[in-house]
Amino acid sequence: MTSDQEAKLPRLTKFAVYAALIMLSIPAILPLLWMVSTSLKTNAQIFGNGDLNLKALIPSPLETSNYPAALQNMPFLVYLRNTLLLCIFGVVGAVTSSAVVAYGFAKIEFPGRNTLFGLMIATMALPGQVTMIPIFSLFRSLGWYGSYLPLIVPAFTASAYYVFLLTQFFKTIPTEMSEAARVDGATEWRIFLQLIIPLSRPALATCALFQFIGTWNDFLGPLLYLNDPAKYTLAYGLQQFVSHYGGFFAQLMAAATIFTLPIIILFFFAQRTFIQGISTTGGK
Amino acid sequence: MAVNDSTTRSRIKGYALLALAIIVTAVVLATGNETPRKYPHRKIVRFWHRWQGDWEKQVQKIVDAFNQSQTEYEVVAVSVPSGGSDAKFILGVIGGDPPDLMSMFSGAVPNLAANGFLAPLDSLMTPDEKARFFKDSYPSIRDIGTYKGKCYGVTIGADLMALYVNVKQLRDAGLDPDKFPKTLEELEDWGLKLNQYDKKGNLTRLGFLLNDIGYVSHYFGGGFDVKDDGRLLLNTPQNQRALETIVNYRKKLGFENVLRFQAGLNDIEGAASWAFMHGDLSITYDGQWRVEELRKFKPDLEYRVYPIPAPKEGGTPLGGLVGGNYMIVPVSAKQKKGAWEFLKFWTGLDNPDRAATFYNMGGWLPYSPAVANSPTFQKWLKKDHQFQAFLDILASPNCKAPPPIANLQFLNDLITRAEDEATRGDVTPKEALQELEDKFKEERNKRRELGYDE
Repeated sequence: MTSDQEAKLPRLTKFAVYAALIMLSIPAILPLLWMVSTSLKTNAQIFGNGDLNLKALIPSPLETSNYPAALQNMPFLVYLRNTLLLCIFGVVGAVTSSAVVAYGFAKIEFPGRNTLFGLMIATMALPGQVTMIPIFSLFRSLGWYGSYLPLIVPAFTASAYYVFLLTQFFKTIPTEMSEAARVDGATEWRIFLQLIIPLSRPALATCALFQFIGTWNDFLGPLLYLNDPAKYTLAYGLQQFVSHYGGFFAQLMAAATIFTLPIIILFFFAQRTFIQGISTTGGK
Repeated sequence: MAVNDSTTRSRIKGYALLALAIIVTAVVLATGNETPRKYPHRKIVRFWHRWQGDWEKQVQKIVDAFNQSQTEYEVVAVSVPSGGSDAKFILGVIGGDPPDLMSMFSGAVPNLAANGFLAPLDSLMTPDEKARFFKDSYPSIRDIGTYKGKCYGVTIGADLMALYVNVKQLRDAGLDPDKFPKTLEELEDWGLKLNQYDKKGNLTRLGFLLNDIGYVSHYFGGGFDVKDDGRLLLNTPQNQRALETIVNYRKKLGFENVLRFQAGLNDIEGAASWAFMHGDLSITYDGQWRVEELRKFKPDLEYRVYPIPAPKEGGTPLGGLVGGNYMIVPVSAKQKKGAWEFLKFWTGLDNPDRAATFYNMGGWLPYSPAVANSPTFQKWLKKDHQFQAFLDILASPNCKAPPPIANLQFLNDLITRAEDEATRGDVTPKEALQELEDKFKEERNKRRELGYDE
């Protein structure tokens, strides 16, 4: 619904639409609220009342000590640094490499383009378990096992999903614009960097956000490739936290809140661009 | 246009330099932060384990003790989350870069051995060590690590279950903790007397709960077994009786009521948080490691430990099913000899008295009577005398190992499912066990068609 359409709606209809949207958002928000609420309670408060009502969601008294306690029970800053490192390189690598490949598929005519595109799309159907062992063997023979390289380098080799999204988006940019630039003598690189990229910010932001969330939440990659606690990531650390402090629900939820917070903040900042990107790339 | 092209070229150069800088930084950072080794000139023995929190600290103390004890090897321990430990291990072996030693849950040993992932530990033992190991070990502990006559796993922390009894709560209910029930039927009556409820009828304290058919069946003369000749002892009259007893007792308590009560319990292993410590459970059966936890975290709690009494008719006292953490060496481990040296050090095969300290640290059951009877262990036992009940069970002929079959995990899942269905009232105990046996036979036939010998 655009803002013009929204302005034309009668007040009652608008109220009904918002009420329906709020109702529909409750199932998504409730677990999040429960997580934050539990992180601010004592164990006695959590287990003391088995009733499920809104009042039970409000911590009384407010127990903020779960946060420092959770942070003390794992080297949070080390895990955060490691996770951010992987996220930053993952985002830069995935977005730049996927954009270059997508530009080729969307804007450059070459023999076998559609076949190659089809093959690339087909790789998305391969389950991770099928490629897990050969990829592991490859990285081990390269001497990368135990380092961050198996978690960083693949991001620089383009992701089929992002290439698909970006190709769809690049195709919506009129070919006449690229043609005009070509007539003016611009090279493919110049068209890509100065014309296509500036027009594709929403789609690129969407890919960046997906990659960031994917890397942030990745547990399996660090589990398989890292063997040194000094290199562990937040998702890995949280799993260890669950294994050992699973019964300390309040602390566990505090750790989960700390883990989730950056993603929520990132989404709030980037939501307009993200939604725009989703709606224009066909990723919805 | 020439000016524009040169601007573009310089921009491309800028982007290329930026990309290069990113990759170089990534490589530098990726290799920068490493935990330094204490003894970098020694041969490294990579040890993966699944202990965390306080237990991880105990394991590290044992590793440190080994590293200080000799000059050839350095054991480097890495704690791996339980959830993905088997995947990490299997991938490490297939990918050619496994640890040298790993502690794995006992149920996985036969399957890993059957699939060729493990090195037989017999091949690492000297003839003298081999003779001593097979002669000295508690039979049930030895049997878990044995697959087709070869030893693939050695325990450094076997587990058994017994009853923990809250003395004060018993006295408050008019029950004498020194005259503990001799039969399971008496124990059930005590449990019902100890239950407490709120105004809504919800359980607030659980007197006693009989569950875990895989374990309890051993007190009924049963147990789930697959013999070497292929005979199945699954849907037996003894197991049926055990499951009927569990179901009937659960009916008295109310299935949903127990479930709701258990969901609210605050239970953590290896920490100061266990429902028994908080008084939420009056009599409960749990592992031997709780003795050490109670000593550390709740020294004032008056409690006793008793073996689960057998049923009045046809019962087998001091029954049990051993499980726990087993040390395995991957077939492609690079430092098998170092791994075996560390394993000997920890288990006490070469020095039972020294190893007794390690078993005591985590409240683990020793692999042999030689360790249990050592002066250090006996001294500790005087302090933690409640531990004796577990040693009595371990020494009993009714204490068994799970069947050494490659699809043990599948069988365990079927056992859990059968108990769950029967206690929910979906099927009768007899039907549940019949379904279990049928499904196991079906799976075994499928495996045989695929070329597996069991």
